[in-house]
Amino acid sequence: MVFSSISFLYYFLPGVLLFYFLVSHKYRNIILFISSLFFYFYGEPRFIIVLLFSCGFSYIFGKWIFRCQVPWKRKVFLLFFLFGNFGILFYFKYYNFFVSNWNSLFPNMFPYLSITMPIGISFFTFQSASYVIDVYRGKVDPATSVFTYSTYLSLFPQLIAGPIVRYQTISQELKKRESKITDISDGIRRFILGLSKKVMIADMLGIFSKELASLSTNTVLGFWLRAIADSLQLYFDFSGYSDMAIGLGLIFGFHFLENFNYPFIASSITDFWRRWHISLSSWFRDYIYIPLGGNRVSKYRHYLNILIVWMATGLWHGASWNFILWGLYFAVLLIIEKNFLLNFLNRHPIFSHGYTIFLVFISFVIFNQTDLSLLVQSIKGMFGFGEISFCSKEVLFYLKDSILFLIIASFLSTPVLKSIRSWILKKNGGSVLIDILEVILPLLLFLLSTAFLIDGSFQPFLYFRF
Amino acid sequence: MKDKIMIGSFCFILGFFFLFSLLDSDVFVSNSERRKLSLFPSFQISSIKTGAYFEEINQYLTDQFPFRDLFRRSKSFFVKWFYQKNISHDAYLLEGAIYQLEPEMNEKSITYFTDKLNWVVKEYFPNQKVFYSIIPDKNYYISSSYFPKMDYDRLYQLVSERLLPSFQEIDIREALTLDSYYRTDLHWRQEKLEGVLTLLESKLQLKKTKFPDRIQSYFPFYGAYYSRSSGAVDADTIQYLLSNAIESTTVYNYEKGKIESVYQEENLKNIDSYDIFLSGATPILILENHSVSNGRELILFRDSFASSLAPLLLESYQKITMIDLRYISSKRLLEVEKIDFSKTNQDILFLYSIPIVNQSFTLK
Repeated sequence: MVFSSISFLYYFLPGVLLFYFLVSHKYRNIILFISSLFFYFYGEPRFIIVLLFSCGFSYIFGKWIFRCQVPWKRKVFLLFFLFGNFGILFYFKYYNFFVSNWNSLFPNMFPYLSITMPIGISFFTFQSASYVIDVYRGKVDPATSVFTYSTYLSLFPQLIAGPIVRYQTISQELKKRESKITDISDGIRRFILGLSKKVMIADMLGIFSKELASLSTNTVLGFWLRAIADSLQLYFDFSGYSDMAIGLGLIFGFHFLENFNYPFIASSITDFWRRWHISLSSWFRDYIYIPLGGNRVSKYRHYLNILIVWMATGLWHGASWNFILWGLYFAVLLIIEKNFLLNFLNRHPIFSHGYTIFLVFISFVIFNQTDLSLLVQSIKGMFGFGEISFCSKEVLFYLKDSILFLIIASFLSTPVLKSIRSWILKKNGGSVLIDILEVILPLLLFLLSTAFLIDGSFQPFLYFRF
Repeated sequence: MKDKIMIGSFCFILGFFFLFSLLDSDVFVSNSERRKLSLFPSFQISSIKTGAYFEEINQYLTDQFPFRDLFRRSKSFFVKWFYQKNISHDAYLLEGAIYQLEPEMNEKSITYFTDKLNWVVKEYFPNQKVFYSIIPDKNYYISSSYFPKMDYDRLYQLVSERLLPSFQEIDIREALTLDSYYRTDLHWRQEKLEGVLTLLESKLQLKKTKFPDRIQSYFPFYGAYYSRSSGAVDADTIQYLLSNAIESTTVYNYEKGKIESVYQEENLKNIDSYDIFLSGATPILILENHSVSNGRELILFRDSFASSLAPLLLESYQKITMIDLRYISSKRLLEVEKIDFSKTNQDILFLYSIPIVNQSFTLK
């Protein structure tokens, strides 16, 4: 089930809210667990077993590691768990990619398998890994029951597209939480904001990009517009989903960490990755980069660590060479910045924003194109290589039609609205105006989002494929 | 207080639409979208396993959501007003009308089209003069300079160059204007075809006839493009003209094997009201006008545009045979009992619209 669907908004959600707030506190986890299983079953009936296995598997190993006092045995348990956990991920997500590459070197060594990837597997395997590793490190006590742990891992607000919520973030709230009126209200607002970002902006950007892609003549302007539209779409799609997840979490009394912080205003690639998919980059930092030695190693080992982490980050996004290339692209940029560029960028703020956004747009061209020959064609096209004209009548027509929309979308990807809100609050009577707007606008946006969904602008969330 | 109002209002919206949709009965057809709406899917274990069952439920709940048309119109209004966007579902909204965006000319299709027509003429009318006319789509008449249009002149030129010399063109472009077309549909309006009729009469050396002045109207006509506007433009009114010739004509529908009238008024309430004209899509129709005895006949190779034009030609012909090669193979035409291409009193006219010329692979 997806959040941006009529079935979720007007049937599943009211049902869950009704039961959740009708029962006493001690039964609320049961409601969440059952509804989460139904939520997953509705979208992926066959793979509910994979989810339940992952819950049981990581819970048991968490327990064993916690109970075991012998260091080498604890390590063996951990390694065995990691092998099993990432083995599941490898089988469903990477097996055929591995086979296609391996067989191109040694033909017909492994058979291709007809495998469908369970939705959200990249998220729940990473969450269970963080749980078991944190138990191993003594950072968190293991869950008191398999039921509590399964409620955490399968929690529907964050189950299929993140953010990657660590057990330690909500372990206390799993045991005891309050549903404060302000939290519920903020949660509703946040959820609606995310829903609007997804259906009223991201999906429309997707349509614009497809319109440009359907043109028979490629142009430099067309390639750049697609790069911009695809980048913005990815941001509004994924940050919209994160907003919905955080909002739903608040409604049910959970406080998830932020996953985005206006990445398009970043002043460097280093800064960009502090603002984009924060839960993923911090996962790789804490569970791969630092264990590899981080920056407390020799210069070249440090570079190697960065390359490994970013190759893995790329691969996490998909079993395709373009994602690996995408990760390595950022690795190289980060190494360059760490070496000398960051100081220069800090001294030249206007240039630094232009530099960052330019490289980010290119990165998402790599990200969006799994066909490497088309990727090369796109990159060459963006820089006018080959016989390509700058623009065409068709591109100008589509641009004219969407120019205001693109400006609005770009504007909304920055904290300008947040600044306007703060400015109004400082004025006389500003807080009253904000109070009124913060009730009326979300409700209007909710109805409008419903209208967008009904009109058939439904598109699956981009991050589901991860 | 603000938080309580927020929570209360949100719960009210969820509860209202949830209960309303439970109590409201299902709608089978959406006229404005010209399609059947999804109904609750039948329960099957196999479809649950694959997830198809839940997808069907999603479709059902979205299709049957209360105030569906109102929501679609609201979305359309918002997109047009706030985003200032005129492209909607691959169509373009301009001054209250909807246009299909189709700027690319398909040369392969044009070749296929002209090859097909040449084959028909060589096979059935080798020594006869034949006429053809290409009906421009309504985008041809858009005056806006930035609207991306097909290279129409090139298309007309290619068709002319590739057809056999026995084809004589009747260029009707000057006889039409933007107003000659429905706002929500690709077709032309029958009541606006006086200029076209006059031109055809002149080129086919027919006597000038009086344009019918008895008019019947039907509203609303949701044209083929209407649903793409999500209600941003008003529905059309369909008008059909009456005359003694039209009223005294019988239509033999080869596919149904029965005699019908020129206008099928019961089709006005169908998903496509344009089917009022000669019952819509069908391979062969034979129109026999019992009020005329001039012996002249017309063989009309055609698409749907001709359905509204042919009734106007009845004043001049005793018999019109209409052949739609999308629904019958050109090689099987002589198998049809009532078709006879050997007569000498027959005019031959190929009348095709640009959408068919540009997507002609459907011609058999």
